[in-house]
Amino acid sequence: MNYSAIIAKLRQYPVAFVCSIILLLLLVVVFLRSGVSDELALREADLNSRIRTIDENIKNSKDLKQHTEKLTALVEQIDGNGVLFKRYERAININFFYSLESEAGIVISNIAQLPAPDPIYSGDGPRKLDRYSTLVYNINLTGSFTGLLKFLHALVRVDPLIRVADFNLSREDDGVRGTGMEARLRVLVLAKKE
Amino acid sequence: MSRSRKNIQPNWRPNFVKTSELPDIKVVRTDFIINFVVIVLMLTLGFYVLQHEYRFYVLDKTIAVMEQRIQIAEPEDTMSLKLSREFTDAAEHIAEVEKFYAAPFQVQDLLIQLTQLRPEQLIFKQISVVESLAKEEAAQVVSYRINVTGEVISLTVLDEFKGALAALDLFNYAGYTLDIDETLQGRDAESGIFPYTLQITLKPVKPAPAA
Repeated sequence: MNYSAIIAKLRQYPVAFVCSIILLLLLVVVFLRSGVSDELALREADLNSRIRTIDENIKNSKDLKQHTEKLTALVEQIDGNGVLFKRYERAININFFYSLESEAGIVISNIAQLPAPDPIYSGDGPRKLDRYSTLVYNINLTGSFTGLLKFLHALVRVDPLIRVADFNLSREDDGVRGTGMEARLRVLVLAKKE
Repeated sequence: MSRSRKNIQPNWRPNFVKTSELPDIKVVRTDFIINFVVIVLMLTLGFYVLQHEYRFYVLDKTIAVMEQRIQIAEPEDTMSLKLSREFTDAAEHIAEVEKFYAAPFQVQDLLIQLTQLRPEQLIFKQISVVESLAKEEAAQVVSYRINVTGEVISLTVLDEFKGALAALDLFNYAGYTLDIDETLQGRDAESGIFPYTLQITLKPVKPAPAA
């Protein structure tokens, strides 16, 4: 079939010719736009997921500001001056315990700040602390049972965070059967992380 | 001359008939089928393209609305996330302080309870508390041992005191098992007094094996 024959055929079917051209153009459109559908669907799914996350976040953040403010204030109070001991302030730390002597009516015969933190709270310990450290003190004291109780209560009441881990209480060995008691304490204090 | 040879002979005069200009005299006209098929194909594809384009348009509009919604909510979300990080950080600090105090009892409470429970006929000579690390099936646990040594006139009094200790809330702390052992030394022949030692042990409960 030569050129003139093709022209003749096209003249014979002009409608079919025009429609074929449109058909071809439409096929080109389908081909060019084939990726757009997936792209838009993906974008819609992404945005949907983002909106769901935002909605969840907004829902979960109800009263979060007040709670965070309360917690942050509490943490600032803990991390502030006078609450956490510092390992290098050895004299200040030891004097702190001596300052409770007169109030409790006991006599501290010896205080030693141990060089290492408590193993329970460090290394592989079961209550390992990451944000704080602990200082360990061995304290020997003498006094009445009431005085000793007052001292133990004072340790709880004061600003620094203190806990008595080990404790040994016996009658004072002064040869006289009196009310004097002798106590050995192992005291843990929450300290700044180094 | 054979018959086949006759057939290939040229016409004896030229044929001037233009077949393309001759009227269609077929009984069933077929020209319209070509037009019909092409038009149907074009319309089908056109409909398909329009439908898709409309879908894209709707999706585009939806996406624009969603993006606008995200844009409005984003500052609040960013603030919430920042608050959440601050909250988590502060909560970790508080959790560590709680961990620091995570003992079943405070020594001063223990002393007060022991003193209040002590019967008249029983005396304390020494009270000690030891917090120690112990190995439990490859895991380290914290256990507590309380030793009370003293003297008692009647063993019934000691038994009652032991029973009262076992019922103390202080020793029945969730997650710990309580064990109370007693050791008696020989009775003093002159005074009739029994020197005793009570050993109270608090150990963490073993976690149940996973099913």
